[in-house]
Parts: sequence; structure tokens; C-alpha cells
Amino acid sequence: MVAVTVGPEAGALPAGSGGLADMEFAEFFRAEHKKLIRFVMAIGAGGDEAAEIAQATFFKAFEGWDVIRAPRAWIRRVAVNELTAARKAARRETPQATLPDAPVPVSTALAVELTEEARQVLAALQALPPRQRQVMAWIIDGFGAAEIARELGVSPESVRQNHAKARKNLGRFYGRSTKR
Amino acid sequence: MIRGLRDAFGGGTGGQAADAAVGHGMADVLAALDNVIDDDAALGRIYAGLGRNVPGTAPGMAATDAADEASAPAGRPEPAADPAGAGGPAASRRRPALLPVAAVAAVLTAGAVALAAIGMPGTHRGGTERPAVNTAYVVKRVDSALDAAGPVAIAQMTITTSAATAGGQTLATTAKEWSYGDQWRAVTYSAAGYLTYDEGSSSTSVFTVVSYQARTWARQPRLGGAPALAPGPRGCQPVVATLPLPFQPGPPVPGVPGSSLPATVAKALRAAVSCGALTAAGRQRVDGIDAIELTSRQDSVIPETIWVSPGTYLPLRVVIRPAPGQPGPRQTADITWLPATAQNRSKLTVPIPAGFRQVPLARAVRPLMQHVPG
Repeated sequence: MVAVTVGPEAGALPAGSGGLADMEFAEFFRAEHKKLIRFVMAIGAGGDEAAEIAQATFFKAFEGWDVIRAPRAWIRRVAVNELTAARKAARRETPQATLPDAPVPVSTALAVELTEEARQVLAALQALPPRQRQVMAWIIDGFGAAEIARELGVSPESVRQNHAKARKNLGRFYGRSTKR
Repeated sequence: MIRGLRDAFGGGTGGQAADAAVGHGMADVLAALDNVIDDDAALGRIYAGLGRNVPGTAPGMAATDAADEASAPAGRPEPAADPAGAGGPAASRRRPALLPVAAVAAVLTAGAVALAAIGMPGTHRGGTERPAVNTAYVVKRVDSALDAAGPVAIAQMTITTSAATAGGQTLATTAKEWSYGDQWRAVTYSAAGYLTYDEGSSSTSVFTVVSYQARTWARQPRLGGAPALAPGPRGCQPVVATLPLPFQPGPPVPGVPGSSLPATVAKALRAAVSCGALTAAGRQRVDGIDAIELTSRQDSVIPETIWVSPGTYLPLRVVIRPAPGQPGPRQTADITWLPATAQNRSKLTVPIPAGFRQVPLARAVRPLMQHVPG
């Protein structure tokens, strides 16, 4: 079954763009796509929302690929902005009686696949204050304090403090969940 | 990752348990995403949205104006990701074993020397200067290959449908299908690359559909008999006309006997190829293979192109386009022929995820039917 939105003729696509930049982008996409979705989930989005944010982010990355210098950090920064914008837009929207289109059921599909440990860690991250959660998301993806500080526009010391608090809170969360 | 967390911030024993828990948990999240996300499909949609092609990975992939067909956004006829428990992410990156040459020995006996015999030239597109290719010979070989492959091979297809939206953007969706005998399975992905529906008909004539959207599933004996798609007068139509079901399988439609039963892809392709509607147009690289290109006649209602392997004469890719000036989606089907081993046959099974609720078929397929064109 192929769901198709039929419109005017799609037409033949232009010739292969080819080129090293395209190859690089494709390689980068394959390496980072799922990690970006995970990053967006770590900062508080659901699976479907995270997938949409990632798609939009990579679309922008594709358009600006030639001038992006540190793409791993760039896509995460843009994804955070996209999520913030999406949340603001969602607050402005009037709820509709019917959904506009078939929803993306990633959360459902993902729910089937997530292990209990994965669910717990996502829940634990959601319980953190936003700044701590954001710091943790960057750390999980392997960024250092200096890089995170640069991306978040804070001092490295502030990043360290937030990380320390996050660890403490996570420790409490896990302490609670293991006592249950 | 855990060590990375410690290294980045100096560690300390207090938070080590938390680090470990976060590390393991987030690794599991990534593994789960691996099972439900199709990177290549998502990448294809980005390129399609900008009207560009996903760069191929095969060296020497043509990048001429003619290559748009062979390297369409769906791009790489890599094996389909095995969704919903059919193999997992690792499998999605592996190229499955192609049908052993021995399996189509009858076809290849003459086929191995066919190219030399007919002097098939390289890719050459230039209006009236198309190379003279022995169409009859190629078609015969393809027909025989499909005939031989039908009973012994599973056709695994990744189908990308691109269509322009009212807003002028190109929307691309992906489905993966397996077809073998009268068994088939189709997995549909949303525009964002997530698994939405998994449906199929088993060898015991039972139709099963799983809706990942509603977390429901349904199963019932299939309706009617298999449609007749044997070569013959009614097979002399565009592939899209003879192949509506393999390309768009769907749930049973009450009152339409057999509507849910695609014939095997091999059988349907054979019907289209053998009726003489296609012309051998030369050679073009498809995923690193110097494939033989067969195109529909210029007066065809629906233009189509089929690329076949010069080794096995089995189709590797089919592209169906709307007629010039006509609206409609463009479909690209990348086909891999798998030997019908027990492991490969398991791809034809629709797994029911734990926790999903069984519902009547009509209820399960209602949202799905809303997407059936027409």
C-alpha cells in the first residue's frame, strides 16, 4: 500500500546533482539522522515530533550544506530552535475536531520497540529541569563542556554545574524507581 | 558512552549509576529507532523535496540527464529494511544474496553470452541515435528469466511514490513489498519514514493487517481467487495497468473478488514484458550494475522503464511515470530477487506486535482505505 497525495504532475526530477558535497551530506545524514531524533527526544519531544523536527532540520542542513562548518553541532542547535518554534506554533493553534492528515504514528511504532530501560531513561530526562535536560542531551551525544557552552551561550562552568545537578537528579530518580 | 560522560565532566562516583543508566537507556532508544526508521527513505524525501537525486554509492553511477530514472530519489535499490521484526537494522544495511545463478540456469545458459552476441552498446541517449538493440532477444530472455524465477525467487521491492502536492512540493512515500507465489507482504511508511501499516496474505490464504497507527490488527480469510495476469492480450498494456496490485496491494475490498491478491511480481512483469510493449534502449548503470534498459513505446499511455540485469535478465528497477502533461504520481520500484530460503520466506510473514488489539477487519483497514487513490 502506497499512500499518495496526487497533485499536478510530479515531472521528471532534474539530473543527478552528484558531487562530493551531496555524497558527504548523504553520508552525514545516514550517520546522524537517528541520533538527531534521539537528541530531540532527549530534550523533551515525543517520537513523532522528534522525527518531524529532524526531517525539517536536515532539510535546512541540505540547503545550507556548503556553508555549515560544524554540522553535528549545527543540526542539534537548529533542531532545538525548530522544536521551540513548533511548540510555540502549537500553542497558537486552535484544536481541530478532526486531524488534518494522517498522523505520523512513530510514537506507537517506537513504543513497541523501546525497552523498559529506554522508557525509564526518557522518563528520567523528562523529569529534569529544561536546562539540565538540554545539557544531558548534548553530553549523551558526545559533546564536551566547552562545545556545549558555546552552543547554549553559557559558560563552561554553568554547563558543568547543570550536569552535576542533572546527575544528582537522575540518581534520585533511579533511586526512587529501584525502591519501587 | 558512559566513559564519554565521565571523561567530559570528570566523573565522580556519585553520578556513575545515573551515567550508566542513561548510557544504556539511550543506546536502547537508538536501537529502537533503528528498527522503525528508514534512513534512506527519509533521505530520499529530502532530495525529492528539492527535486534532486540521492547520490548513488556505486562508483561510476551515471550523472547524465538520462540518469534521473536510474538514480531516482528512492535512490538505492538497497535491500529493504526489515521492519517489524523481519530482520532488524543490521539486515537493512546488508545486501541480501541475489538469486543464485543456478536457480535460473535455464535462462542463463544462453544469456551469459547474449550481450557479446548482440553487441549491446553502452548507455547512449540521443533521440534518434539510440543504439540498435535486439529487443526481441532481450525480451525473450527477460520473459524466460521471470518464468524461471517465479517459483523459486522472492521479489523484494522498495517502492517510492513521488507526487507533487498542491503547494508545489514533492511528496515521496515509501513502501516495501515481498511477493512469492500467491503470498505477499507490504509494509507502508509514513512521509516521515515511520512504519504505519504492515499487511500481507499468507500461504494459508489468510489476509493480515497491522495498523501501527491504531495499535490494532485484523485477520481474515482472503476473498476470491487470484487475478489472472498471465501473458496474453490483456497483458499488452503498460506495466502500471498489468501491475496494479503488486505496486499497490491493499486490504480486501468487499464485493471485488480477488482485489486484494496481487499476482506474483514475476508473473505480472512477465505479462507486460512478453506482450511486446517494451523496447530495449541500451545500457545504464543501476546500483553499480550495467543494466539493460527497456522502455515503453512513445505512444504508451503511461511511460515506463524497466532495467534488467545483464546476468540474470531479471528486472532490477521499474519506473512508472505519468504521461506527459498528465497529473499523477511517479513510482520507482527497486527489486531484489531473493532465493526462497526459509529465512527469506519469513519476510512474507506479518508479525503481530505484543500489546496490539485485534479488531474486525473493516475497522483495521478503514484509515488505510482512505489512502487508496481513486
